[in-house]
Amino acid sequence: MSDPRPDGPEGWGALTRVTEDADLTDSLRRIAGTGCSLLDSCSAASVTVIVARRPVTMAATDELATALDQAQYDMDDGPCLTAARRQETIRIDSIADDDRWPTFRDAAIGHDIGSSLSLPLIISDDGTFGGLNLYAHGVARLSADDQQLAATFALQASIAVSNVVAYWASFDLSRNLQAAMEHRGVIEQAKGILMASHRCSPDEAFAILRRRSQDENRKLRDIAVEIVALTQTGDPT
Amino acid sequence: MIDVAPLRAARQFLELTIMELWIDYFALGGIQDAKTLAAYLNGDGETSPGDHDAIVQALNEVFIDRGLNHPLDYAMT
Repeated sequence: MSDPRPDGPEGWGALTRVTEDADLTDSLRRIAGTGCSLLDSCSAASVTVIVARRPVTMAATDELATALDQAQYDMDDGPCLTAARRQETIRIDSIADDDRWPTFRDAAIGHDIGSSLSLPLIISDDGTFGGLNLYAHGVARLSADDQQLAATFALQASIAVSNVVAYWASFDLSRNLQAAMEHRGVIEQAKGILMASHRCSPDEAFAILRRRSQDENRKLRDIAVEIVALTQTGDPT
Repeated sequence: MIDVAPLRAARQFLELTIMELWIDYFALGGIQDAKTLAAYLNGDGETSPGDHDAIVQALNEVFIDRGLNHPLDYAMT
């Protein structure tokens, strides 16, 4: 049997490096690639994330995995969706002989994929489900030992994916807040200019800005940027 | 008292989270924290007409991105 220890295969160190990736997709692609590389027969892998009941392949080793996932999304059914939603592992030794998901079966046959292994990723975020999908050419190429090894990896990957989701959510929030601070700054400058030129209150200055926003159907911050810029060269109002 | 029901309906229609709306509102000069904003939209609490209009503007700017021109009314004329 293959070594199922969390610190066993060298590739598992990839899970600790996900925060060095450029974004969430890179992190999940690394997880998909590492999961596939652990199994000798794995030909392609992907990570499915279901948010608000909508499944999406967040990362894949190649287009083959994406195509097989899409065949399942088109029918809103298939082994990887079932694994993610029911949080159970589904191993198919011979996809051609499995009649549960005909669309997926036909797509797999079309890509010469004979066996698959779908494992749940337990994501600590309400309403979000994940799955690791492993595909292999040929029949019965993913064994019970492979399943045990992949299940242990998926458990570790679940923690990494949850952390990555939280990390990138915080990163996005930080970036959005930085942009918001910049927009707020220029809007406050424009309000100050209007308060001085119109001798009005902050609320009235904001009303002037948003009336122009309405009249021109433009974002208020774009108008504020113009006012601040024009103040340096001419009449801002 | 200003009617917040249209704002609440707009947020749901636009599928904006409270945090997404709060960031846009904060960028426009909004003065309440996200928790207070959520309570206000639920009809719990009050704010100034100017601050109310910052919430309206934040929602209207999302409507701009969707091809509409300021469908929500402001408190101040």
